[in-house]
Amino acid sequence: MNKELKNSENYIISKVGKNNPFSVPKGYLNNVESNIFSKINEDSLPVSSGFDTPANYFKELEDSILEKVSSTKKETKVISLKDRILKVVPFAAAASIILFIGLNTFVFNQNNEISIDNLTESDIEYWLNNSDINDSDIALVLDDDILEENGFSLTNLKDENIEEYINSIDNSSLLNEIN
Amino acid sequence: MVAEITLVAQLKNKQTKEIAFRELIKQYKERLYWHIRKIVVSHDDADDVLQNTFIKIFNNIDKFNEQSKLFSWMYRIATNESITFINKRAKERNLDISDYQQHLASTLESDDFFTGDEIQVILQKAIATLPQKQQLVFNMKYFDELKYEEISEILETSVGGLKASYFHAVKKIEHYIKNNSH
Repeated sequence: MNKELKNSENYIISKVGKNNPFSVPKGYLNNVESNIFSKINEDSLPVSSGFDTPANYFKELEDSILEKVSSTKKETKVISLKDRILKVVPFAAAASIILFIGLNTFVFNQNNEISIDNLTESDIEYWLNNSDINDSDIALVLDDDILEENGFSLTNLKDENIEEYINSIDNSSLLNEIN
Repeated sequence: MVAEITLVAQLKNKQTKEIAFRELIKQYKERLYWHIRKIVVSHDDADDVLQNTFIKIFNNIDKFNEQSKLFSWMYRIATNESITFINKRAKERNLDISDYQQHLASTLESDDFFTGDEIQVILQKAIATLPQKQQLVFNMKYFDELKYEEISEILETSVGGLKASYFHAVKKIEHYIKNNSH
């Protein structure tokens, strides 16, 4: 047995060796003492928090909680699922009819609402041409601020563009006006 | 190095207890650390168990029976603490202790504090397949090179039983290495 053991042992040693394959973080072993002493000091702190409870508090806790639970407990009625569903059916039917009507009315109303956006341009043109509306009526509707100078696209024109335009047109009429 | 008998006397004396304890840690920390580390595998866990071991020694020094060696007594505490620790970890993960140890061995390749090569990983995996007692005996005999008498005092087992355990452990490991290395 001894020889067999020696052979097997030698086989393992030749294959793996006896080196310790584990290592430790740098400096770890130097700090072991202080780590342990700080833990011992921690352990020597009082374990008790100093809080206390009235005598028999924990002993009577279950009873007092159970008592409260049972005094508010009501007899539970057993309702079968079928009864429940049958009870709900008429309400569900009524609700769905109301919903159907309600939705329809809502959609109908919405379609009949008149807004300026719904009118086509030709409708407006037709109306303007056929009603006796005059300039003073329009002036009454338009606010003064709409007619401000800056309201016209003219103000956005660049000087070069105006110059170019003046150069490009027959300006004899303009000259006549200045004269 | 303070002689063991003096150290024990100082440890049992309230006035010298702390100084003596510092000396005790200094003398035994490495041996106990490596013993624990081989059982729990990861460094962080070994650190936890080492600290708990020394705290237990500190708190129970008065119960130390001077008939046995201080060294064996401390080794025994470290062994018990380590085994309790891995049992707890296995239970938390709902694993059998041997499954948990195989899992630990499989984490070695990615462990920053494992510097061994492929064959050393295989050896650790082989050790993890052994029954607890054989693992302990193998590590103490093969790596720590303790005498059977010393191991017998630590594990409180007969020398004959230890020899048989070691024999079985070595045969199984040899077999495992032959099957798993090229």
